[in-house]
Amino acid sequence: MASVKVAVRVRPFNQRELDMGAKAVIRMDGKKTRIVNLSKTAGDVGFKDFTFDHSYWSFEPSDPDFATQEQVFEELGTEVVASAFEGYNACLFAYGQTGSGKTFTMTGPPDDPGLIPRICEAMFGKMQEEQEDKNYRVDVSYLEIYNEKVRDLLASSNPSGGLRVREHPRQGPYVSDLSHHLVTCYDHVAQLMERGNRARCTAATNMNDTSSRSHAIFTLTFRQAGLGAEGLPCETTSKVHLVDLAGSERADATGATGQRLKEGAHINKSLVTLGSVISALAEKRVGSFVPYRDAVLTWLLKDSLGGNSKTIMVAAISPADCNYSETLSTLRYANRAKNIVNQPTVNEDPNVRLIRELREEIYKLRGLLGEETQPKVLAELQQKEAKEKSLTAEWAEKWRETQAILREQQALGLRKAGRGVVLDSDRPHLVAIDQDDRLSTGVTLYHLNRNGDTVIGAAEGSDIVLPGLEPHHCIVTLKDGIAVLTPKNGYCSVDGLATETSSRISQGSLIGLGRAHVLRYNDPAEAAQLRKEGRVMSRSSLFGGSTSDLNLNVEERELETERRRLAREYEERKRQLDEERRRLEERQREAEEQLRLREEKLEEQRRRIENKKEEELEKREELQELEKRVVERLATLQERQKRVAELDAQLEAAREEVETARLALKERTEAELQAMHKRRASLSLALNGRGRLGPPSSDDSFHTATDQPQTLWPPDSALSDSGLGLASPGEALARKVAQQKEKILTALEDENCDKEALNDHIAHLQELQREQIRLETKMNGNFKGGPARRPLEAEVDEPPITVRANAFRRHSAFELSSP
Amino acid sequence: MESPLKNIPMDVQLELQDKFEKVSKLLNEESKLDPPNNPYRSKYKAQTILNEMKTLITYHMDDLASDDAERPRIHAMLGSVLLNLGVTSLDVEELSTGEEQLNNCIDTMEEFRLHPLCIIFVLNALNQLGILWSERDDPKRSLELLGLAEQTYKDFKADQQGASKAVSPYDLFSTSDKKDDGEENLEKTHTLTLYYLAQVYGTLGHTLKSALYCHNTLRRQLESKEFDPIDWALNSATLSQFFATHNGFKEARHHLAAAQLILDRHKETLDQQEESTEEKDAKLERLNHRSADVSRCWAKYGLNLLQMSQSRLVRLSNEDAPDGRIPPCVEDGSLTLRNLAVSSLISPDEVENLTFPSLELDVLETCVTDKPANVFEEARPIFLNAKDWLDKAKQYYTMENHASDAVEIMQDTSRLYQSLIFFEDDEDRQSKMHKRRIDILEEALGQLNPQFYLPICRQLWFELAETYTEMFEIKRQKMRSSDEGPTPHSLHKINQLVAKGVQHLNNFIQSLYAKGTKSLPEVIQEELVRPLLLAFFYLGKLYREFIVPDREVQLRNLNNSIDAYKFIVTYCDKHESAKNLMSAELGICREMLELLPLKLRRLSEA
Repeated sequence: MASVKVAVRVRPFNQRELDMGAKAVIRMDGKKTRIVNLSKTAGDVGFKDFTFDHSYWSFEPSDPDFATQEQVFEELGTEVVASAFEGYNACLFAYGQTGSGKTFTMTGPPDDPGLIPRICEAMFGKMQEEQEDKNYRVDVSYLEIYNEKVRDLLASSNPSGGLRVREHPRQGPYVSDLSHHLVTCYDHVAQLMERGNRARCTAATNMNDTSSRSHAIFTLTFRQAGLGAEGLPCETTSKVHLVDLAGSERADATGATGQRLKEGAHINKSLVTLGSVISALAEKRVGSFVPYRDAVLTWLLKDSLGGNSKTIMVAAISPADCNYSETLSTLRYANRAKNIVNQPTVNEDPNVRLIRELREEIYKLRGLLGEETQPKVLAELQQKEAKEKSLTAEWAEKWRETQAILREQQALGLRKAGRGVVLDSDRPHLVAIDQDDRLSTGVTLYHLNRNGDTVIGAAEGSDIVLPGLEPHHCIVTLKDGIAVLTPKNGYCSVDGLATETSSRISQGSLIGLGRAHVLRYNDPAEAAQLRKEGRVMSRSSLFGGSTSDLNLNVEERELETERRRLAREYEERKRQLDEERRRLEERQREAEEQLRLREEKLEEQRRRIENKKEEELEKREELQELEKRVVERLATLQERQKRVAELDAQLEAAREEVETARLALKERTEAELQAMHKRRASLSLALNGRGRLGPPSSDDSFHTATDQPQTLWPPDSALSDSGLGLASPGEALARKVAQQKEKILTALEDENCDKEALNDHIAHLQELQREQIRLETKMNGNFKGGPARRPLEAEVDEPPITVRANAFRRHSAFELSSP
Repeated sequence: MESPLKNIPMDVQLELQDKFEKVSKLLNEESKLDPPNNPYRSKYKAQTILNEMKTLITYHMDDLASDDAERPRIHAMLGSVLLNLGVTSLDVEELSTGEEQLNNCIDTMEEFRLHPLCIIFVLNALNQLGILWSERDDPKRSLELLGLAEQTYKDFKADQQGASKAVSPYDLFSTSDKKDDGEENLEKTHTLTLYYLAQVYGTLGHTLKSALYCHNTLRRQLESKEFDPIDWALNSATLSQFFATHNGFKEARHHLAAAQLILDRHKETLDQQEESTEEKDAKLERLNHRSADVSRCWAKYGLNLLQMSQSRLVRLSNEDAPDGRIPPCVEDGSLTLRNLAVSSLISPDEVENLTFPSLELDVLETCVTDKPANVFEEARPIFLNAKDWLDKAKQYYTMENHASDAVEIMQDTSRLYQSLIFFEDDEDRQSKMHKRRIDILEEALGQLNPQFYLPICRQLWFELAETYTEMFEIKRQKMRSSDEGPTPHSLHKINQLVAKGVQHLNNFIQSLYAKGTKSLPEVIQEELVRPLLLAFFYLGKLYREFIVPDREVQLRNLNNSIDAYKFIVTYCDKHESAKNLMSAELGICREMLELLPLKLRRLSEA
């Protein structure tokens, strides 16, 4: 992928330009942007063309090729989202003079949002979609760089020297003490961005400056946690930087900000910028250190420029002639934007040496490998070699027969004459010349039987069998070197003259048999004699000679044709063989594959069985373990039962004792009561005369009995002793807890709530809850005993955890925290 | 002050003075407060007043006799008004009007252009026209105008020989006794001329010229005592980098020493400020930061000097004429800017005295030589000095806070060792120095998270592979020249070094794998194509350097080597653009691909 994408977008005329009667100087065609120079001072009307990755025509909404926000997002924004999810960093720059439409493209109005809201929305949308198995965390920071000083736009105050830019070896570049804000939805992002923009504006007014003089970087840090490919947990972090570069106004003559990134052709007026002029000089060479001024921006974006990151630059331009020079400089900058990416430099020195060494090696190798090293020839030769090998085999096979014949027919010899192949025989013979059949190929040679008859005919058993003849066509008799043709049943001719009687044939005579066959008679001995005598002028020899030539040619041709046929056959066979081999290999591969699969399956099964075995083994062990435990448990149980029985017995005894005591007591009490009644009766009798004193219905002994519990428990908690009255004190506490929670929640709703108060509230709540636990534990202990404690505790512990987590989440969304 | 004029009535003179003061105020103060919706309000007002002044002066100028003694002054007044009109017009973007007014200004004063009353206006008008034409993308025209300004200044100085001083615009209209320093104004204007010339020369590609003018600008800033010490030091140190990379070691050292001195002085001033405020902390931070930068410039100076010495010696040994004649540059023994001057069509005299005479720099300059080293004993002090500076810079650029700068410093340290090795003859000591380099680079690599520092990590992988290769070559050389032949120990060592080199190259290659895959993407990022293919190129060689008896391993290595060359050739065949990047190497790769399979066959048949 190209690491930097550059897009240019032209906006419609604004009101000011319309009022001025501005003329459009921008034309676009596909990826091309043209700027036309209508300037009067220059005198000539020229134009300059630039080609970018995208040229967006947003000049006139009614144009058919008008580029909408949607289109810009589809082509630029979706890529940013995709790369963030893939774990790459992404960086989106906006560049252009103030009022060129940067904000429109980046943020846009609420009813026609720009790249940033769309990117954020798409990101949150995608998180929703993929939330299943993944966890996401997005935080936001917003800073500006003004005069090389970094300010946090989301913090209430900044140190006068600016924030320090740092680079941690493991965590990458960062701004120390920069606030990060956890966000959960786009609205939140928008809110923070708006807050930052406000801070940026105010600061700018204080400095009597315009906002475009500073670079602003809005960063979304995007963390994904989930299970990776091998089921291992993994976390990836990607950053999306949205950068608003300082504008390119001419007014920007004093600050060095952005100077390095900008067109250097124009003269800087103020000496303050001397540094950038010198830097430009020194920078042209490698091996020097140039502490340029504009480091902060490039530094902070280091992890986004170069490396595996996606960088998109949108240059916003005005269409109007009055902005010609600014627009031109913006286009020029955009044209060079690719240069801002870091590129790895490679030391070329060792390369030169290496090349020399390799040359030497090649030279040596050539020597070592000798003649073979005619490189290409060699490869071809190898191929040929292989081909020839099989070729020879084929041919050997093919020719074996022939060779057998040649061997068998000792009179025959095959030799080469120039390009031709000559079949020599030292015995009288006939050579078939199939004049009529143009398609016949091959040459047939028939030796004549020595000193005897050679029968020619269609019948089986003839010496020479030729189809289409009479069964016993004719006989050629050879005797003492003289050959005589004797026709039997069929038509014969010698040298074109039909003959029905025996006629002598001599060297070179052409014998016609039937309609189709022509044979030539050769007698090497006679030929040699003739050559010796120099008889070349005989009619027959003249004719014979020429036919002989013809015949030879035919022979040659036919030999050639045969060879070709063999070659074709060989090719065909080879092809078939290859085919066959391929098929076989294929089948073998398939078989191997199947085998492998089956092996795998087997292995799998084996493993499974082993696992099962293991499992079973484990289970058995477990079972044994369990059994052992059961036995143990049974033993303890019996033990316990025994003890219970003992205890029961004791209890029974005790109960009896108590019962006895109770009865005794009852008796005694009743006795005493009766005694008391008696006494009272006597007392009241005595008092009747003296008037009333003391409580009317209670007596002293009753008082002392009820006094004790009253001092031990306060009135309302006294009820709990009975095990029924938990309601009252617990409810009060629960109410308090609920109130406290309510208080915290309202505090959390309040943005301005301070942290300390919140912490106090939480502490109080925890205190209350602890009390609640204490109380309930105690009560439980009172009427149920130990084991019941657990569930109760868990139940009570839950709410403080959720409240605390909640508090943290909300908390970090508003408070500062450093990375 | 100038005495009142006879030709202009006193009330008019007072009116002019009043108007001039108003204009000054409008342009210098009020214009800064103009609202964004009416940004040129004050400038338009000033234009009106300036035009009134122009009318008043022109009216009285008509009556002047051609030999009137007051003519220069009245012309100067008109020139001043026209200059201000011209500059204002440019400011409000009425470029052609401004150009005309500035030309009128120069015409008006043509007769008196070297007159103390006029000189400042003439120079300013030329400067402004120079800027205008530079903005119109006509640097040559700009150069002519600024060159004229420079010449005019020189002529004035020669003409006056310091007898009469330039008069400031303020005094021109003033009827009072108060005196403005015209001389200072003149010098400032000239400094600007030089600064603009530096830029125009830069634009036109005359880097040395530009550097000379930058030096002059710095010198004049120093003399005027109006400069920010840190900016100045940084600029001087940066300029030294230009000189040091163009054989101007004497000049480079001088500029560095000047930067050092100015920083030391500034530190003293800061230390004298007693209380520690937040502002002072910020100042100290800036000072420490920039001091570290100057230290790094010093280190680069040493590094460049060593590297230059090396290439000089290599060149000399190549030039070593058979008749034993020593080339003239050896006797000279120094490297200078002269060659560059000659090739830049600049008189060598111009590069002679690039100094800051007002600074006492001898002590700082004697710390390190500016002559190239010929032997180890000469190279070593340069090395030590540069290493000291790097150690100093490291105190600010810590790994913890400035990771990539810290790594760059470590890389420079490694390069310093590399340069010194050239002068070292003993193989064991060479090896030790390479080991030192490896330790430094591996330490850097170990601390960096490739997620954030991928480009640096790639660089380090490459450099490490290179270093291991160099070390390996020394060991191999040593083994070959030894009488006893290879020992198991030396073989093991060699294989280890080769394996490390291979490993780092593979790390580099794997860093380019498409995310989530174990293979390279079809198309590689343009700027990484050459490094990647080079990595394969080096790999192809390194795989063949393993010395192993086992034929299977030999075959495997050879196959790996063939694969590396195959990758290069295949990639180049698929991507036309890559072919051009690898023009030197591709042919070799192709030949290797023809030969190595034969070797492989031999090996497997043997």
